[in-house]
Amino acid sequence: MDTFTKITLLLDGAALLLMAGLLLFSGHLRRHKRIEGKIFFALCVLTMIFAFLNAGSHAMHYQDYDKWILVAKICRMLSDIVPIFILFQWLVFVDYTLYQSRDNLLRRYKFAFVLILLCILLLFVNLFTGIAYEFERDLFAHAHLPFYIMLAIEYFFLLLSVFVIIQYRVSHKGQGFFAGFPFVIPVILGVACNDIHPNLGTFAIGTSVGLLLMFLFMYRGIRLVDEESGFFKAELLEFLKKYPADRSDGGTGILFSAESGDLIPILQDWKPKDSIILELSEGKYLLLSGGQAESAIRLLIECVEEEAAEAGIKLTARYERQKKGESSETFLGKFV
Amino acid sequence: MEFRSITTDNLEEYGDRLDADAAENIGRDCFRGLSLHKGKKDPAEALLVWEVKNLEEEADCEAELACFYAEQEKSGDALLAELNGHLAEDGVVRSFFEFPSDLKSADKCMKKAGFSVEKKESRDLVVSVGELAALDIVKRTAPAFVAPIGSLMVRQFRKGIANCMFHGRKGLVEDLATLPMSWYDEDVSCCVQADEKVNGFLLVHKTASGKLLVELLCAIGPDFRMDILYMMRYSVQAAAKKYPKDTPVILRRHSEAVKALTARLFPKKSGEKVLAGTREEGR
Repeated sequence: MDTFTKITLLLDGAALLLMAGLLLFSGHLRRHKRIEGKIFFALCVLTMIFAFLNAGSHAMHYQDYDKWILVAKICRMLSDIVPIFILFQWLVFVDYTLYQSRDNLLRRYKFAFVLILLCILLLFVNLFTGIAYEFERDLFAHAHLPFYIMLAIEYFFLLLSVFVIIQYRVSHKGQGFFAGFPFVIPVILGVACNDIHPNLGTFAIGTSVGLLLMFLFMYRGIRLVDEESGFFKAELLEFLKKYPADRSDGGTGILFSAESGDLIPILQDWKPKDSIILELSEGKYLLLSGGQAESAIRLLIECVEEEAAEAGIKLTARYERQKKGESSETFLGKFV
Repeated sequence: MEFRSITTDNLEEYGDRLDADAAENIGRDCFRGLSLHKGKKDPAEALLVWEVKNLEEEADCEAELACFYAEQEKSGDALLAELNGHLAEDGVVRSFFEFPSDLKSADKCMKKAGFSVEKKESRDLVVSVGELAALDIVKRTAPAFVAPIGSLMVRQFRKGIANCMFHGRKGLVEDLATLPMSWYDEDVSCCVQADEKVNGFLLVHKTASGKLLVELLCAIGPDFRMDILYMMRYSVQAAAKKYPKDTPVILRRHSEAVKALTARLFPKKSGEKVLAGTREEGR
């Protein structure tokens, strides 16, 4: 067994352990009640599957070649298909986390299914014909054009995810909790280093490190989100109070207090895009957004009150607009 | 000599003196009307309708004079003098107008009232439904997630309006929060929907004189530029089916974005020459 194969087996093993550890450690991830959580969970599982298949296909080359050739070929084929799903899933995860829109995913990435089907078809045909690469012990030596087309598709998904992050940060002027940019780097490195040597496999470790870093960064935010409602917990207020006033365009806060009944579905329905809701205590919800016109605030309050009345919920609402130069602490203190 | 407020109760008294497009706005919170009469039973010698903008916002309050009529110069002067008190009540810091260039007495009265007056190109670009339908970019069919506002329930409409307003979009409509859906042409006006929420509107109002005025064009989804294009396609095609080709459509170039868009769509077209003026009010 050559050195690169040994390194690959070590790296794939490490990737398996990392992902397994992550899934064991995080109950939040195992429960995956929210859509982002489900996509992230699927990413972790796919990475583990890939690591297993990749290690298996490399290891089998050093067994009785004639006996294991078909199994090795199938493992190799599957381990080439899975990265395409992983990178597409990564793109979907980034887009959904930023834009929170399922319809947007379907509209933007309809074309992706055609690309993925093309890759699967090529790899399946390759199993019998060797059009993408010829299956030898030296797996990379005879790669053909279709192989490079598939590689280009993988890079396309990866770079598209970077573009989506940049587009979001530009349109939201750098604000927001998601800063996925640095976490794409291990994934990019994992894909790029994969091509250094035919027997070197770094995709699994690159992806798993990227996912782990992503999770560690998001963990702070995950702990602050209620899994059922998707609203933030009151602890977020302490973080927001430290937000410097001169970075703010002015804020708007609307405090909804329900004496009885479940206000959550109504607020989930009426929550404007790019605003956040904190559950301060039972029945008390604070909606925060950038500076708003009085008429917009009053319209929202009126509509929520009407819906609450229809649902038999006794509701009171009041709002405050952050004054120029007013600190976040003073502004948010008005709601506590 | 007496001054009267123009309201929905006395609209009929003004007949042809009051422009139909201005008259239909009387009753809206942001519109005011004032008339001058010699005696109690005399018809109006002069009248004025204006729209107050940013009344409840942090931005400076402005007034746009929408309609002016004066039988004689001295009636117009008296009316404009009376206007000052009303503007001060609303805290207006700047007023402006655009009138047809041949409007009787307007030039002299406005200058005497302290407006800086000039003849210039109107901010309104008037095109026909036929000209819009001839544009290449509107010929393809809009996707299924673009729907006429007539297909929305009132609740969905209001939610969409709240969503747009929370993104700072109100277009030409100061009272967007309170105008009913029926104010807009429900077949030509459309919206884009995603995840069962309305993420953008193209709202068109048919004025009393039969013109189509685009009052709001906004989209707040991730692909807002494409959504705007899709809505334009939908509305133009709907207008072409519903109205004659020569129906005027007013594109009000009130922002840099709209100016850029109209310049791209109609590079050779320009607005009519109008009488325009501005005045800073005493703070």
